[in-house]
Amino acid sequence: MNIEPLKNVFKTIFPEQEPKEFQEHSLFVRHLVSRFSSGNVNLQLGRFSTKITIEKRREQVCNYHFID
Amino acid sequence: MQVEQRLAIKALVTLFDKAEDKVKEVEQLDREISIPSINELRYVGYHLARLFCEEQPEKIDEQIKKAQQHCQRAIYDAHEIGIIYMLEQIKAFKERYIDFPDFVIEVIPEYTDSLRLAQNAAKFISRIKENNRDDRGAYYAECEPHYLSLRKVFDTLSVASPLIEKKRSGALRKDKQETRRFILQTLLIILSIIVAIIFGMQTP
Repeated sequence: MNIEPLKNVFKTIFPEQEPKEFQEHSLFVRHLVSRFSSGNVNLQLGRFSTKITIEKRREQVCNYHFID
Repeated sequence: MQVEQRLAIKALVTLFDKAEDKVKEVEQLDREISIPSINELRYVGYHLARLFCEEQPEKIDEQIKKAQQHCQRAIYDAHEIGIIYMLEQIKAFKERYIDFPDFVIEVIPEYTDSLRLAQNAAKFISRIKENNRDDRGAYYAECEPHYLSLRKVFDTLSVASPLIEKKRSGALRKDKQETRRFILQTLLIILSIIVAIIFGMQTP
């Protein structure tokens, strides 16, 4: 079985090295967050789901017809 | 504290570990932290602290039960947000490749079954919403199989997406080439007709 295409796909999804800009941005964000906050980073960066946002998202996916 | 109660607390700690792991797993998946799950875990701490201050066995049992229910709700909420996130991704995938069903089936032969699983999971979370939300802890064990089967679907779609994209761009390139060839052929035919007419007019 030829697994080369699968290997290429994995390399595309999980590249060995992230782009330089992304690395710099990520490092900067972490540095900033570690300086001014403690605890969960997602929470400190405002990345959280509340009951209201979850409710909206739930309604959207529940009303969608996955099978036509 | 009675021996049964000590065992119940141990079981509670195991359940708490599971809830915490699940909350973290879904946080990494969704790249957002779920406040309702964290809130439920907060209440577990509240009831655990209370039970160590109680002296009556019935009161201790009551606190253990409450803490257990909050753990179950935390697990349910974490699974639910994971399911919602994966359903959103499956929906986006379906809409992205709606005009290319042949490529999708070629890469993912079980695509129809995957969509059926997604529909079942959507029905499940919709049913819990319609029932009393406070009882959702009772469904925490029922929620996990939906989450796990959707996780497999989600992983398959993530791997398949670049392959389908490759096929799609190949087909578009081929289509463009054929269109270009058709235009060129038509132009050549028109040109040869014009040349023939000009030659026809020049000859007496």
